[in-house]
Parts: sequence; structure tokens; C-alpha cells
Amino acid sequence: MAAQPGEAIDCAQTADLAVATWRKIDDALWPIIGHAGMAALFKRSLYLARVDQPALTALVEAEIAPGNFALLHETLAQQSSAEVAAAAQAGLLKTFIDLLTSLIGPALTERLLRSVWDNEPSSVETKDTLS
Amino acid sequence: MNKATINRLQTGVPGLDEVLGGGLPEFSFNILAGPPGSGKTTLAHQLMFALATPERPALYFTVLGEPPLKMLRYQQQFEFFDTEAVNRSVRFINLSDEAMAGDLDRVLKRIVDEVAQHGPALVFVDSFRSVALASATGGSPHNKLQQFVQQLGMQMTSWQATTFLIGEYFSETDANPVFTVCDGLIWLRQSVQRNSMVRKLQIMKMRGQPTLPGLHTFRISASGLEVFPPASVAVSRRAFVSCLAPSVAAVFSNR
Repeated sequence: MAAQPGEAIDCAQTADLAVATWRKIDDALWPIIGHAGMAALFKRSLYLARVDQPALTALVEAEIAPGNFALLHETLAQQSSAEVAAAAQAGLLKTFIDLLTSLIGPALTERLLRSVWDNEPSSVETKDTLS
Repeated sequence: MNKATINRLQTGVPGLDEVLGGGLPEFSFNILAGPPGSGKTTLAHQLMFALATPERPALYFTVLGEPPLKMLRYQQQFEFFDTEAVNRSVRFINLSDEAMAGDLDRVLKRIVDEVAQHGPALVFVDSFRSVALASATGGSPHNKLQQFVQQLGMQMTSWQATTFLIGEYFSETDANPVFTVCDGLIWLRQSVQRNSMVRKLQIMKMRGQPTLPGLHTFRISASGLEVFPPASVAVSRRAFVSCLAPSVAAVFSNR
């Protein structure tokens, strides 16, 4: 999700990048755990991440259809700065990966999500969260 | 005229090939049955990781019941679970959306679509009971289920996929139409004797195979299932008697 050095990025772009990543994660996981399984993990991640990322609080109570990240996009795009939006996304992503890791271990988590990081030019930050 | 050659797949489960009479017939349609906790899913995973290769991949369909994340959490504890094989030679596919709709046609269509896309040599459907339960919501469940299994068997054979239907709560005395359709029926049993779990495996049916009849003890350890086929009766008897003191051996020799 990190911007290229020297390149300005606004909240909407941060939200675009975040949703693109979540769509890839959804594509990687829903065939294996089902739409409902993926939605449950995402919901739990929002609940856990909201403590450190208050920007996500509004999403916790919201009805989110499986595979629909429009509300996440809207929330991130409305933040006061791109830094706040990026921090919220990074916090949510780390929480999600930690949650998945706690259930199926780091090796299988990395294996299942490998396609998400492949061919992703701006995935340095997200890769770091896996290590 | 040349006859069809039936290749026997080596299952990778110690002792099982011997009980099966030389391995598992390729393209066969098999049922792994037994009560909850008897090792069906573990046997299925052990077979899958032993037999699947990138060129001959496996599809493992989960239907309803045990959540896939839980299954993966526990199955990876076994030594045969190869994380790197996942999404390469082994692919897990969840059918809960189709199954919850209660429409077996949708379940079958999704299975066939995925099989057409990935061209697997091995297909697993776990579990049969949840497929049956899904069908119960859609009227005339018995006919629909039989139709589903017949269609599945036909489709998978046409796609040249050796198939395993994993089922629980089957009654052996039931004239279950599924048993007629299948080529192989492997039954796992368990019972508690004193404070030990005694596990037995029986090949109830295996078309074209000289299987070893009866109940065969197996155990489940960190490396998975291990089946203990009976030693050759004649050889073991001679070997047994030769180990005995002459006075005791005479007793057995006269029997």
C-alpha cells in the first residue's frame, strides 16, 4: 500500500489500493473457506483492529455483504489524511493476517495468500506484515 | 482383443495396499464411511497428499459441516500434510454456498465446472452426509441424492478422476443406493475397549480387486493411518511354532 517515493497519494487512492488488495485476498480465500467464512474473518478483523484504528469503528457495526468492500473504500476515502487511511488499512490487514495465522499457521497462511502478493508492485508493506 | 488395463494406485498408507489387494483401482468411485472421529477425513488427506502431483492434481471439495479452516488447522498437524502442495497439486474448494441453497444440481454443476477447469486425477467430496442434508431441504431427498451420486459417479469417471465420497452415519444394513453405485466401499470403525481406542478398517467392496476380507486393525499417529494386514496364515503359523519350546510346539502342531 506504500506510495512510491516522492509521489503524493490521497485518501481516495489509498482506498483504491486497499480495496484492490482485499479483492485479491477475497479471491484467494473464498473458494477455500466460502464467502461466509471469508466474511466472518473480515468482520472479526475489523472488530479487533478498531482498538488501534478508530477509523474502522463505523465498519464494525455495519452490515457488510460478503466480498463487498465498498463501505471500507468509503470509510478510508473519508479520512482526514492519506496517512490515517493507510494506517487503518495496514492495521486491518495485519490483524486479518494475524487472525488467519492463529488458525492455520504461518506456513499455510503464506501459501494461501501468495497469489495476493505476486505481481503486486506496491506490496512491500503488506509483505512485511507476513514476516 | 486387448482388454482394459486397470492401473492400481499405491495409496501411501502403510498396509492399505495389501488389504486392498494391490492398491486402489484408477478411476474408481469410492466411499469412505464411518462414524465421526473414525479417521475418514484423515485417510482422505493422507491418500490425497500421497497421490497428487502437479500433473495429476487433486480437488478436495468441502461441503458443509466441519469448517474448512478447522479442517486445515488439524490436518496440517499430520506429517503427510505438505503446505507447499496446496494450490499446486492439491486444491481445496468450498461448496457451502451451493449446498446451503439446498440445490444438488448446483452442487453437482460446481463440482463438474471445477473438475473441467482443473482436470484433477483425484476428487474428494467431504462430506457426503452434508450433501444428503442439503438435499433434504429440496423435496424427494432420497431420489435426488441417488440421482446426485449416480451423476457424480458418471461424470467423474468420464473425467478420469479417481473419486472419494466421504460419508458418516451410514448404516451398514441400509440398502443405500449409493453402495450400489460405488466401486469401492471402505468402512472405518472405532470402539473403546477399557481405556483404549480400537480402530478397524474393512473393505466392504472393491470391484475387480482380491481384497483381504474382514476387519483390519489400524492406528492413527502423527504420520497418519497405518493398517495392519494379517500376516500370511501358513507362514506365520510355521514361524510361530518354530519359536516355541518343543513341548509347547507339539500342542500347536497337533491342531
